[in-house]
Amino acid sequence: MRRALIVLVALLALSPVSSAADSPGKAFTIADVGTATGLVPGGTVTRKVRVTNPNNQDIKVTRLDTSVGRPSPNCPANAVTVAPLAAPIVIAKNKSADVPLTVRMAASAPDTCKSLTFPLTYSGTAIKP
Amino acid sequence: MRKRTAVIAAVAIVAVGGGIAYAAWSSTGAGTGSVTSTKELSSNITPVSGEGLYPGKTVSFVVEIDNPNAYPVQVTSISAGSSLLTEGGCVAGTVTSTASAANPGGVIQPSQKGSYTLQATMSANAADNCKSQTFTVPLTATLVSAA
Repeated sequence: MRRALIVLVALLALSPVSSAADSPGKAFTIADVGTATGLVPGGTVTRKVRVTNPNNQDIKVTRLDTSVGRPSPNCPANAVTVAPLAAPIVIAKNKSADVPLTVRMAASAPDTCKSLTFPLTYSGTAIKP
Repeated sequence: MRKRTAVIAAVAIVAVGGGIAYAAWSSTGAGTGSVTSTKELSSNITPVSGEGLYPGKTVSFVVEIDNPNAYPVQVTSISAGSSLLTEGGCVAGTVTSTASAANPGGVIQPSQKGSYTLQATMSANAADNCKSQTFTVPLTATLVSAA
């Protein structure tokens, strides 16, 4: 019986359960790459972001959304919108990938939105590819 | 016989454990960033043509409006104007121009110019020192992004 228990413990130690405890689920990060300027009413610019996968396994980012903050009391946050991730992207383990996001300023954006910096908050989800 | 049971149990647990790990495989990501809007550059209005004024006469004259911005713009209005005192002493206000129609039309691409035709009238009471003068009529145009 003792031998059987040793076999059981050894098998569990080699099983995916133990490695699963430290690899999946680590949050990936999303950060700006360079600057994105030149937004004008009715126009679009590209906001490039770098998605970094800290896991020891590849991930497939299936959703990347952006929330736009209010840049000043006189400029509404909804003057600017950021398109979600166009298509899922696979990011290799411990690597990063740059993703272009399209940012649009509403044609109705008021003059009070000139020369302002809009804060962006990114969120996303990933699954095993 | 007891050994066999133990091995079977181990395999079963491993299989269940592996299933749980796969199902739990998902992660989230987060971050912050920014994007910046631009400030417009002012356009200039320059005269192109317009001549033949005499007291009581209305003539057409053409102005050009440039677009120094990196995005297309559209003129939404050009103001009415009134002439300044000329070098020859012709009093201010001798020549007046009417405002453009609303949204005179045409998109001016970046670094390009648009031409607009306006009407100018010389006062019927213009004095002789208004002959052969060049009249400067300040105008203001409003433009919006046509991006």
